Amino acid sequence: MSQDPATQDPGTPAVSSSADDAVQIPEAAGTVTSPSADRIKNPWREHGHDGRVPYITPDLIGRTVEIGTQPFDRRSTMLLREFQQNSEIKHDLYPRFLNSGRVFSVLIDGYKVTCTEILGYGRFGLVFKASIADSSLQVAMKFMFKENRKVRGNSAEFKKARKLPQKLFDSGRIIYYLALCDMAPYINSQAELIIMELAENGDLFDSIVVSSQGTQRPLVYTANHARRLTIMVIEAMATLREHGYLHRDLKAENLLFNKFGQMVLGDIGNIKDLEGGTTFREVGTKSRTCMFFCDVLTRRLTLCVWCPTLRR
Amino acid sequence: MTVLGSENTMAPEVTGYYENKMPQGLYDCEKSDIWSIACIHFQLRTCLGVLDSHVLKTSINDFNEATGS
Repeated sequence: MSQDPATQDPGTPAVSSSADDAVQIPEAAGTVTSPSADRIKNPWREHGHDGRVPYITPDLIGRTVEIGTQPFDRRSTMLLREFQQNSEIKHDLYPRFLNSGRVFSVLIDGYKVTCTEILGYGRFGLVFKASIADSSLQVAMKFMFKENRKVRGNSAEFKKARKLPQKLFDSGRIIYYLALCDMAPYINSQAELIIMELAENGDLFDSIVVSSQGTQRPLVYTANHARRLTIMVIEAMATLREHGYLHRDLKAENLLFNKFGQMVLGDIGNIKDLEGGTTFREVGTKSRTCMFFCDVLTRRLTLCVWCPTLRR
Repeated sequence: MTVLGSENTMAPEVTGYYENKMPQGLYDCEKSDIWSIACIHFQLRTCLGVLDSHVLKTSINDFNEATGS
């Protein structure tokens, strides 16, 4: 049985979990049978243009949000409370339907999408498990709150999803985006919606830290299982590299498993294309760079003024 | 500040910019992705994040640079 991470000695070999504790490793490791586009019947596909992710303009978004009476389940309520505690969003800007903690529906381009469960939260918003009415399609809908961002305009993930070619999503290695909605009008809040493929088997991080009987119990993979999963990660990254992109935010939380047991990459907000063939990217603060050079320049000028030998 | 990736899976060359507030520079995204893959493998085998300061006492100075020889 695995130990608590706070007490586990990293120097000792990891103890493998028993067979009962083992998370089901997808058998289809490394084999992508069919692209995501064939697996998912996208109701918004007809609005797409240039073979990219369909973009639904704000005027097509329904202005009504229905608040249901059925509350979220216990896990969702806990996640919501945790998100509210950590969120930088002010209370008056926080959407009322999230504070109510109830099931709600959003009318998007004639399709009623009902959010029933919170799958997770990030720095800028929440991800709900949702179902499309008159369809058996289950999707994940990400609400990105604009009030929580310092940069105006769309989020990085939203912009990247609009620019990325459809063939990248069709590769089956990156989470399939069904539609993008620029703005969801709600009382005091504005959120952009990213509707994407639902990863039914959760993410890799959840498979490591398994919630059991109210306690967080870590699960150590055996060497073979860890190797197989790592190979899946490498293959997913290789596919992304073949299409000319690098992920740049690779972590266990962003590695998801779909219902076929295939690993897909999520959170493409930091993805980078390899235009020009360079893999290098700037990092750091521009303003500090400018201040640094200004400081050097000022010192140099000062020396030139006071030191005649440097004027030459 | 351009923050890239997550702290636990961030490559050492990026961590310097993240923690020490170094001025702007260049880093190789491909190599940092490979570092992240190794971090995930480490996490799978130990349930611990690499360089997780809350749990581990190791630092980047404890790693030896691979020479490839």
